[in-house]
Amino acid sequence: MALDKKLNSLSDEELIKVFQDRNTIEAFEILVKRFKDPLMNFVYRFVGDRDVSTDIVQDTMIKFYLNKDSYQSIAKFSTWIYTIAGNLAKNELKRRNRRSMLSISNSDDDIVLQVEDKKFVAPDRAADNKMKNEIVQKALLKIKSVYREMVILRDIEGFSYEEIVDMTGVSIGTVKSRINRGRAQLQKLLKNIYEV
Amino acid sequence: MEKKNHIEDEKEFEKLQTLLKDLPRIEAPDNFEYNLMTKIHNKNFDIKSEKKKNIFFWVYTPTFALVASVILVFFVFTDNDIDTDDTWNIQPKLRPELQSPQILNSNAKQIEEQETIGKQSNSKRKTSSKVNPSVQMKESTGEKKNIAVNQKSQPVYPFDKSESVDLDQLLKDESSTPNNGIAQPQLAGENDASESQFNGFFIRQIEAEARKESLRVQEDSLKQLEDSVNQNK
Repeated sequence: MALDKKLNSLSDEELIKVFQDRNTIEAFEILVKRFKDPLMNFVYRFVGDRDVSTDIVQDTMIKFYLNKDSYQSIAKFSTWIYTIAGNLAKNELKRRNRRSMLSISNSDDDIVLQVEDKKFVAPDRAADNKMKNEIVQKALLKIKSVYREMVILRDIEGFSYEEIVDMTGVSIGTVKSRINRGRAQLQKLLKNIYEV
Repeated sequence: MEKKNHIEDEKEFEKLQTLLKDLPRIEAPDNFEYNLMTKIHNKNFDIKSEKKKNIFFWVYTPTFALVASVILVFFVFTDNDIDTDDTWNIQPKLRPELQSPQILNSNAKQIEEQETIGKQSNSKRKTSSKVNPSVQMKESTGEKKNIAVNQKSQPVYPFDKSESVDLDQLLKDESSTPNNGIAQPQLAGENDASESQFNGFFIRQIEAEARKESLRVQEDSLKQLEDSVNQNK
């Protein structure tokens, strides 16, 4: 118990250092506790399926357990583990896209068609909070995955641009432009919700 | 300017940002940690998302099939063509009488001798190239003659040189010098009756015997005729 208390007071980077140096499983468990829900939220918003998201987060934690030594203390632990989760989520999306043979198209024309869909813009449904959240989630899944990832990391998870740069490995300019484009596409899709 | 644009962007999408922030947080299931720790304790490290990759292996099957068929066609057709159809590529078979190791060795020796002569002449040419050109010309012509003589004197025959003789040379010697009891060179296989069946030099003697026989028959018949005439008288 005393060890747990002591470990709980440590930062993420200190915990992984303890786990790396002494192979303390308690340190690993504390990190899992801290990151399972944020990762679950991030992956769910990216993939849109609870079960698949749970599997991906489990895989992320297993990868973290197996490859703990590949983490270097120069980076933040959160950016490292979000990178792993993001990569696994992208792989899952690629697999899905192949399976559905492009049934969900992300071209701009299709987005306009989706906006005009009555089911999508019905004001009485949009009034309901639950339904509203579903619509937002659906809209998120309609935008391109590169934009979606950036928007989720910035606007839902609240990471800074620099942290997103570390996670995705693209330049800060690209991050900003992708966030803007993603937001613009989302705004188009959710136009009717604002009016309500 | 960049900061202004950034602030404008943030304002433009302010409503959207609040909408996204208000989204309910999705939490991991209650048994998440238990399942994870069970997997780790059991060392069940199968990563599902990576394992599924093999499902789409079929995407590459047409490529593999094409490559395999090209390789198959290449090897099957090229091998058969070389062995059967292309007669120009077939090596001529060595006659069985020339396959004895003695003959092969003697041929090899002759070839080696010729090669050494060629090398020597080449080296001489190289050395002579540094010398006076007139002398060089004379020497080179002389060497050429020598080479020609050497090449003429040592032709390559497909039989053992020690057991055979140049027939043209033999006939010349016989015509120039009469047989004075000196042992003449023997023809190849002369003593071996089983191998040589040549007997063509005795054809004229056979004709003379036949002629003699016919003359004897004529003489006998004339004698009989003379005897019969005498008796009648």
